[in-house]
Amino acid sequence: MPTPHLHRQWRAFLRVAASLPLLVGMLASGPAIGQVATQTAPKAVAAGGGTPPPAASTSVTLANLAQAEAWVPRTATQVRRFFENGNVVAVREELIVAANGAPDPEFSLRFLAVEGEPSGSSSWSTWAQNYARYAGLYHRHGSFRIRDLQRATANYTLHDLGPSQRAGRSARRVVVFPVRLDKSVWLLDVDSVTCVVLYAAEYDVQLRLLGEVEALTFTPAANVTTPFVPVMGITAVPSVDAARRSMPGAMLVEPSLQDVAEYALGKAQVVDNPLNGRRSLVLAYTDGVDEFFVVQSPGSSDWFAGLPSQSKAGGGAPRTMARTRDAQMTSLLFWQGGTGFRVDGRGSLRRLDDFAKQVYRQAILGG
Amino acid sequence: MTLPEGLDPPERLDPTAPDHPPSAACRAHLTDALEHGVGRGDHGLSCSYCSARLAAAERLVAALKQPVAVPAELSGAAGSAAVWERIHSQLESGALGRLLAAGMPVVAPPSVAASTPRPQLPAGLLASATLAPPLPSSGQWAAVAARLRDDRHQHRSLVRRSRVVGLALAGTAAAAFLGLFLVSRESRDEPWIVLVDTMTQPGSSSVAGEFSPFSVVRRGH
Repeated sequence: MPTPHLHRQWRAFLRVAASLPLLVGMLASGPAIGQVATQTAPKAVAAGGGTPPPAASTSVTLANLAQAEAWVPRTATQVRRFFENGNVVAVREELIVAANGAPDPEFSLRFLAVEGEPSGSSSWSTWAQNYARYAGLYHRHGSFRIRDLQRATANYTLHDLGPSQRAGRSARRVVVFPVRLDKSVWLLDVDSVTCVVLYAAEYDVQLRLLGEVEALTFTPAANVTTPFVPVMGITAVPSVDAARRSMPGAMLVEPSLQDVAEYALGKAQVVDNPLNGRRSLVLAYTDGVDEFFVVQSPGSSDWFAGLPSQSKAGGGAPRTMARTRDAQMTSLLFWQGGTGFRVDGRGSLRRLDDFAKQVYRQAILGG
Repeated sequence: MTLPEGLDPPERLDPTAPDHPPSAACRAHLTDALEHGVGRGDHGLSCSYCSARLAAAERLVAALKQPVAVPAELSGAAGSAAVWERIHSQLESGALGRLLAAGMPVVAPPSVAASTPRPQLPAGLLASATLAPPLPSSGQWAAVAARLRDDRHQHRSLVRRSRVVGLALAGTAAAAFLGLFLVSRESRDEPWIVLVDTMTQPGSSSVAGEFSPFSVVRRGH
């Protein structure tokens, strides 16, 4: 006799399975689902007039998307929408990428405007500062990208929904669907000629819009006059062991991935934070498309030092891990041995709880 | 009962004393004279009553100062016993003695022979019961000895078997205890992690300035 827990799992599975045709139908029917969902997104109309360009002969595949990302130089004016607590902030930006086949080509991402805000307002200044500091993160981690083609092929399927138009160019509308349902579903408009992503909307399995980047203009050419230079000192390291060598004396953990086996270490960086003068090890794990981060900050003060449970140090006393979760993201924070740990990922990826607990155990047992 | 020698009854102390009741002055004079030794004025010289009383008091004091000699019959234990015996005889012969004799008659206890029941056993059984049992034969003794040897042998084998079983049980218990100890030690070493849900989303700048790339990507700051 099935248990209530199994009943719930089956019901959740059937609900998701039933929602898939609906999702595909919705994505295929509208010109831009993001406009319907947010009601604030500007209408993406082909700049070239009413006549759509001819459909491209190039089929859209995950491999083509990865290849275009690496090889196609491009200049685009686009709108990036941030969602927080039910509010949407749409920021207009200019992206120039001098792609040449290198894994991390030169680029610039420049703040242009906050939609609906007058020039010179406080919001305008805030977002200008945010772009000066975090443009690299917006570009590299802020939207859809094939980060590991082999893993992306294993963990996602691509469904072509037909022709579309975006930024005055002929495009193909595709859905990139995860094999496991605790990740995001991506709706893409892909340039028919270059296979560059012109529009990317991120949904969870409950069809909630989580993020959106929409190209308004697109040119397959680039001239990067002022490449982005991060404010923070970022040093890429090949592994956690290399980070240990560059951060002597720091208690660092190489996380075990048994709970998120389809993910692998994508990037390891030692970041010097000018705000607090502290060095952190930032590990980015990817399944090919999705990412989550593990940040280890040696020298942090114990965030939970004042809690009654932490006063009973030693065996048997509970260890506290703070968790904040909503549809957008999951944050798990804990502290051990002078190092603050932070595990951040998407809100639907609930396996991060077990993953973070495992990292905590590793930290307690000395890495 | 007789008074000591030289001591007369009070009414005969002074036959000439007036037979009139004492006045208040007599009482006050006698109180002062007898208790404090000083009389009041000349009342003692003029009052015959008071002078008689005071003279009697002087004689009585002198008599009381002489120790009373105990009679020789009462000084020994035999004399006291004789006195008590005489008192007892007088009481028994008196009305009280007769009353007690009538109310509490002396009953003699029954004799032992009369209270013992007569034997009810048949004569044959009584004879066999009183006879000494016959001694066992040598064959019976040999059988008893063989039985004792068998019992001893069985006891030894039982002890040996119980030792083996005991050792096995002790080994099993030790192994179980060791296993439980190791399991409990392992579980004790396993950290107990408690997840606490917080309402506010910690951003890159809200938690001690910690850097969170994902929060930046999601929320822009």
